[in-house]
Amino acid sequence: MTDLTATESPFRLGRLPIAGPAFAAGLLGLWQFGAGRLFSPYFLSRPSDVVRQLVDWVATGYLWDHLAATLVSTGVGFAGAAIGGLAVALLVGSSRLLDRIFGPLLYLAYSLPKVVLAPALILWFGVGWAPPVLMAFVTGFFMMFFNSYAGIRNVSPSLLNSVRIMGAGPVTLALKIRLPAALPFIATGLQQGLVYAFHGTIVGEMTASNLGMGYVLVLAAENMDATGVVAALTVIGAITFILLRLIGRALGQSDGAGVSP
Amino acid sequence: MSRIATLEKLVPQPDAPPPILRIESAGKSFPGSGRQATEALRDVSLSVAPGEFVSLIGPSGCGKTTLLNITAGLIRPDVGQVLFDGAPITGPNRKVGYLTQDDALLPWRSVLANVALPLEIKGVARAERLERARDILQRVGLAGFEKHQPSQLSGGMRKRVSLARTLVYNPAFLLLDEPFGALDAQTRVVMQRELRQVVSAFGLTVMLVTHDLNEAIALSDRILLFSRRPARLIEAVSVPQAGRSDVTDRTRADDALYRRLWDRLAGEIDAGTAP
Repeated sequence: MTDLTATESPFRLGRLPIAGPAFAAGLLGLWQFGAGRLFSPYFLSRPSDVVRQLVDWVATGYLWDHLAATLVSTGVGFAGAAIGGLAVALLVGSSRLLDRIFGPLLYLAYSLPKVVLAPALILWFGVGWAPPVLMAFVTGFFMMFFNSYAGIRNVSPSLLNSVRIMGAGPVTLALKIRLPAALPFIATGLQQGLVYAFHGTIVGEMTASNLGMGYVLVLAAENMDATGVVAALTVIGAITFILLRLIGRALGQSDGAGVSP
Repeated sequence: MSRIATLEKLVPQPDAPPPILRIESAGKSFPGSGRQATEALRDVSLSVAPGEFVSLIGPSGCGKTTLLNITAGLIRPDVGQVLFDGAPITGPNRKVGYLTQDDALLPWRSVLANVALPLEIKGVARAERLERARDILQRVGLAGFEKHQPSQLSGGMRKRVSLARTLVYNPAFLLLDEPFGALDAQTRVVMQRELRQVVSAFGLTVMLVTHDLNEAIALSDRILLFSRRPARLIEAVSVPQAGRSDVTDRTRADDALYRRLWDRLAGEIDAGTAP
């Protein structure tokens, strides 16, 4: 018998589905136990305090007010980013002239870290709802644009030529060929764009808002409240995780994590 | 120069119908890497009569495809003139059908929707275009596969779908760029047979680029042999097709022609690879 797989022990650690959760639980336990013994909870808080804080935030409605603000800003900014990014990608990806004019500018804008925009947004719009929405728009836009653009440019020239000979003009080519051919790339753009928009919103709230999870995080840090900081980070992490899972499921993938372009 | 003698054969006879395609002294270079441009065509003249089946053969990468692309109006020659149906070609030539090695089907559309695409672009009403697409699919032996996706079909069947898609808008002139190059030998013979039937049933004029000398001999009325890059026309041979009942028929004259063409071609290939 040469069944090589049978020689592997069924009790190998890698096969245990609980290996990951067990490690995480161990870390949490170390954190809980170590606080006050190995390190000061003043800097790192402890899990039980964080849970108490979260329960308190939920009970008072504090969490919901700020989370709702963040999600609305993300939704509005991302909707604009998705529509705008796709439209610009279709235009620039379909026309060599527009590509020559706007391509380098878009790359230049993309190469700037979007975080640096936040202070400028305070200057232009003051503190309020606008900076988080615009941060979501800008970060989501580039994800959407570059993914869609890559898909649109990826359409095989022979396919395009065969349809040109049938009499298709640039608009027909864009809508009937380029757009459907780029759909997998557009889906990736939506997926990454949404997560980036969420993070963009938080950066916007951290610098120029008095509402939202980013504001909650900064407020806790300014008050030297480690428990609040960790609790806010927990919420932000959980939302990111849920977003990735939801989009991944909607796109029929096993995990939502995309590849950065 | 023997080249001048062969070019003279291309001048149409006084009583012949006017050519559907006429290329005069066409030349084309493409910008290459650095400053060196790649010259694809040099001083090529040829004409194709309506209903004629012409094959273009020559070493790989010699510029035959460039000639098809010029005829399709996808690229413009740097020098020379190209007349299609008596008029110069200024943009994508909608009177030709173009079939390449790549079947260029839209993977997200069903077979029927793929075949109906050219009519959709022309603005033909939905009911009519679907009926015409169904009709043409039946003629290429694909009745019953209308709802299939291209990915569910074999290479030969996909080729038939793209042939049907080309025929559905009634082009008079077919450009074929190694259409069967990617198929296995048996499927290729089946498709060649089918092409022959379709060409005579629809009264099509054909310009075929192929590396398969047997394919050229079995299908063409005339074979044009090109040099290595930049492509120049070095020989034009008429192939007697009368009496051939199938693409697999071979006569002694075919064998002699094969040897002769292969000798000329081998000379070009050797010259191309010599240091």
